[in-house]
Amino acid sequence: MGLTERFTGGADTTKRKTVAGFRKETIEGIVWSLPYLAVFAVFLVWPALRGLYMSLHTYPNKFDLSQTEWVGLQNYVELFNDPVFYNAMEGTFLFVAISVPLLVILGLVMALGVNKNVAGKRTLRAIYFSPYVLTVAVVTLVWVQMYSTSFGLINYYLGFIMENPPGWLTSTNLVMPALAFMTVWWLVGFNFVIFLAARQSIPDRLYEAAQLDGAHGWRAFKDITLPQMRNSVVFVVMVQFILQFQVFAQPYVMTQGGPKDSSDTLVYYLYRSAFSQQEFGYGAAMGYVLVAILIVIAIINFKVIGDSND
Amino acid sequence: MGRKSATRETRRKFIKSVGAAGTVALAGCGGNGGGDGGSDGGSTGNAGSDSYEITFWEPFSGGEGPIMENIVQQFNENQPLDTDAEVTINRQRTPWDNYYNKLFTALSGDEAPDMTVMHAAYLRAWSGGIDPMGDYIDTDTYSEDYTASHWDLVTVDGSVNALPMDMHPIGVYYNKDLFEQAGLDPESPPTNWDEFQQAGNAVAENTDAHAFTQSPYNDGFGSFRTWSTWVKQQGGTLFDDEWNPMFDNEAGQNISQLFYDMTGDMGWSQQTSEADWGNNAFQNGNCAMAMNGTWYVAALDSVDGLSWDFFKPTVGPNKQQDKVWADGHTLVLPQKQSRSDAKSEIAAQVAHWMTTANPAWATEAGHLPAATSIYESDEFQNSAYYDKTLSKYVEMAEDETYFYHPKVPDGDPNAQNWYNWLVDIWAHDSEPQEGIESGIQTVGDGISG
Amino acid sequence: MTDAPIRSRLDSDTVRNALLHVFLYGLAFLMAVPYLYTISRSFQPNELLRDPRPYWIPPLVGEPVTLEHYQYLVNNTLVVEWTINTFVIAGGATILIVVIDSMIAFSLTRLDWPGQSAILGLILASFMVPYYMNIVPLYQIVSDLGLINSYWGVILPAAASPLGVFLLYQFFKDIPEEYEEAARLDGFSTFQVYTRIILPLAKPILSALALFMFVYNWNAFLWPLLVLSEQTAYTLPIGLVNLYQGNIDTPGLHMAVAILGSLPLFIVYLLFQGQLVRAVQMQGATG
Repeated sequence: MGLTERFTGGADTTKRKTVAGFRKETIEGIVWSLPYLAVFAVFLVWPALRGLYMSLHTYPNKFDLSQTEWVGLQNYVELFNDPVFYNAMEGTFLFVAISVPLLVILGLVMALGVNKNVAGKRTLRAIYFSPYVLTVAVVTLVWVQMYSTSFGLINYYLGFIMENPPGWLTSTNLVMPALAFMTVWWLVGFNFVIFLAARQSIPDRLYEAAQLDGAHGWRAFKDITLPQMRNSVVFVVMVQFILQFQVFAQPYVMTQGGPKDSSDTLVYYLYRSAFSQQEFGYGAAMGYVLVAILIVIAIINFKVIGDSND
Repeated sequence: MGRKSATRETRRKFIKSVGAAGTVALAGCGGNGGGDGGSDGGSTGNAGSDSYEITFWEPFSGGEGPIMENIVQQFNENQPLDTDAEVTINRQRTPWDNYYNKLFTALSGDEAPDMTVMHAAYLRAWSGGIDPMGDYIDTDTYSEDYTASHWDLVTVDGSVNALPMDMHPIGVYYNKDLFEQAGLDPESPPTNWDEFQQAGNAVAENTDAHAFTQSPYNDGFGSFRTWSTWVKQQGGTLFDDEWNPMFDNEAGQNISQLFYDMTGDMGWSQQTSEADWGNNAFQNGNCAMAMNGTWYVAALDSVDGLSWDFFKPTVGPNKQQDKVWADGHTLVLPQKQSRSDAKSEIAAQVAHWMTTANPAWATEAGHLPAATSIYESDEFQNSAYYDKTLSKYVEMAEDETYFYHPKVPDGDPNAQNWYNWLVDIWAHDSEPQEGIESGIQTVGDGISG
Repeated sequence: MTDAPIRSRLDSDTVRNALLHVFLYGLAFLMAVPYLYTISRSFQPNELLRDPRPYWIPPLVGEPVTLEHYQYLVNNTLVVEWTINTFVIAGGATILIVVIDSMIAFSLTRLDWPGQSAILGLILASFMVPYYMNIVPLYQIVSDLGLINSYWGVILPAAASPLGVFLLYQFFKDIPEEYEEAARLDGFSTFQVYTRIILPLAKPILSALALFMFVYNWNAFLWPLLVLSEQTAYTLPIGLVNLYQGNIDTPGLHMAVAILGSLPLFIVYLLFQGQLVRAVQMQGATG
């Protein structure tokens, strides 16, 4: 159980004085979990297992999925020899490397900033969160316009201070950063709300006590805020990695993976394989490789940031 | 054919009878699953006094939407079929985006509609998912109702898979004011490569505007329409008999180089991969010529102050034959366990009526109609777009100029990423050879994978 | 809450405070620009929209504004239906999720039983499975259960999302045991601990979860698109997409759709955000 515990930070093993014995608690535990687990098993686990099954087969007739051919790990082998896969991986890693740190740090900074004695908190909160309510179709629409070289807002104003404003979505070097930046704008509200909730649930008395010790500002942040918020940081980092690794809609809608496949991503490639070409076996194999990558990242995340049990 | 029939049906009935989470179904779960199971005239194949509800998915939006809505409404009110049965079309609009995904997943769960729209290019790759129209109609009689090109469009390996609704080929739309500015005669547009080259150069030299855009959306698929047209005109081939892409044959290389040069040495256009660049430029009067399909007419007419006209795209360099890209909308019968033969026959008749009795689809939406009767009708000949574009498209049809978007045996023939390499070449993100090789790789994988 | 800083350090703190305001508001301004611009564009006629020059407030430069895009949308009678559908689906999913996720998070953090870690591990692992891989098998299940074209066909798969479980798990872990121990000594049953202790203390994070899930399910596009086969059943995002051409010949309409499609969500947020704050302040005070 060592690894699972590391992974999950160990389930809470509070010894509670219950009236009845251990057995009652087990039953209770399971009963309380059942509603979610039922839905979870039917609508998530089962399809995912089917996916695993699919990754080990090929489907000669895509219109009759009951015709399958066992191929073992062949899909995976093919995948690891696929240059498109590696290119997509590269693109995804680049995107994640830019977007996740920004999403986490910016969200944290915003939450801590708003938490202070700032005028107009409500307005600030609303503005910080509101891009999050936009659907991806809207966000891509807005930003395709913003990034346009001939009609875009950004380059219009940049044009006043520089000769040739760059082509954000048309440059192989800038396209991923541009997509990442847009994603940060869009999604940072999520982290902001969580960090704010976490920050605000830190009892004031901790800070008051620290103040008496002469610690404030950076010290208080380091010794009180961060440790107290550790669980939320773990959560946010983990979730952002998982979500941003699965980036798909932005390149799909805005650049179709271009220019020259420089904005191709894993899930976009998966979508093309599984949906566009209906190569389910191959697409599923890709999906599971992604799962494996994310599990590794999750383990690293828990090890590095750790988990507070007190 | 989905031979999972027996087990799926029994399993589904079993689950239903066990009272699965109540279907909080909404207004009439039209015509699939439970309802139709046994109730419509099983195997007698004779439509008595039954009633049929034909579920129909269509993806038409924007201007075309209301036209289709009207057509269906007309049908339901007038009951034009030669049968005693009452036939209603239950039309459901679905978004264009993800249309084929939706159709596919529906097929995988046997929840497809009775009838739906499909691009002709998909008729081979999706032949495993549809019941050929030919099974339910008298092909000899019906074939006479449509033009030869259209009938050809829907016949795949000898099987009539669908009924044709329209064709949407491409052509060159040009800005008359810019032509004048460049010193060209706006009433006599180019008819061959020399004149085309002259026109483009004139615009590039004498005006501030760009000369040409290969696809206003600056997308892969649009670029392919243009590219393949000129490749075919040079006598090139796109695929060999085994469906290996032949993009690197001589013609393919030449036209790829042409694309590269147009934004390079020729100075005809901007080196960019930005989406919709050409559309913005053309509609703002910054680009003189744009290659696009029949549907462009509605968009152009909504732009105030744009004086435009049209010429045939048979202006490729070193032309050996007149060839122009075309694809079309067709109506198909997706596979559906619960649709009886009798119902399929009715649905086929509905499709026949829809495609032969409604000139509005051509006259108002600007498409090239499939039915000969419509061609010959006054309504068509007097329609708004007839002089500007349709008559020219008709001429090309009569001259059998059209070749169809390749009906690949597998994969998604409309996938943008199959053709993005052309945009890469256009934008100088790739050298022509590089781009071609990438294209061959991607498309080859897509077909064989 | 500390009062104004000690007078002797007034200057540097005031400066810091001012800088903070500048930073926060500057950031807010930058963030607001894109959609302020979109709002402005949704009121502009197509000619202005095609112009490379941006117009922020057209009347200021003598250009027209128009309501035509919105009128076009609203005149389509199904907009009301779609909005209702979306409220039902998003609302239903949210309520279901908050309830069942809080129950299992409670069970995982507050109760002790064998296999907890394994279950939690499984839930977290499944979170990493990319959505698109599941679509075809999921569709077949939903179809077998007869849920195609129904609200439940959308709500139930949405309720399987592990995000909420993970979120609540992390936050429930932090609730001090003292409260429960005291409650148990008072003879509270498990159910009472859940409803009287945990839920109130967790209100801010439950509100956050509800907000996220409502937004997510409101905006969900692909799955509802695949499951809902009748246009009267569509959610607002799907229905609106139908009203314009795939390409951009009607930019104004796109902008109006963008605004109209998001407006209900924004209003819900404004109504909800009071929940987030008030609850928190209450908790901070008793803490």
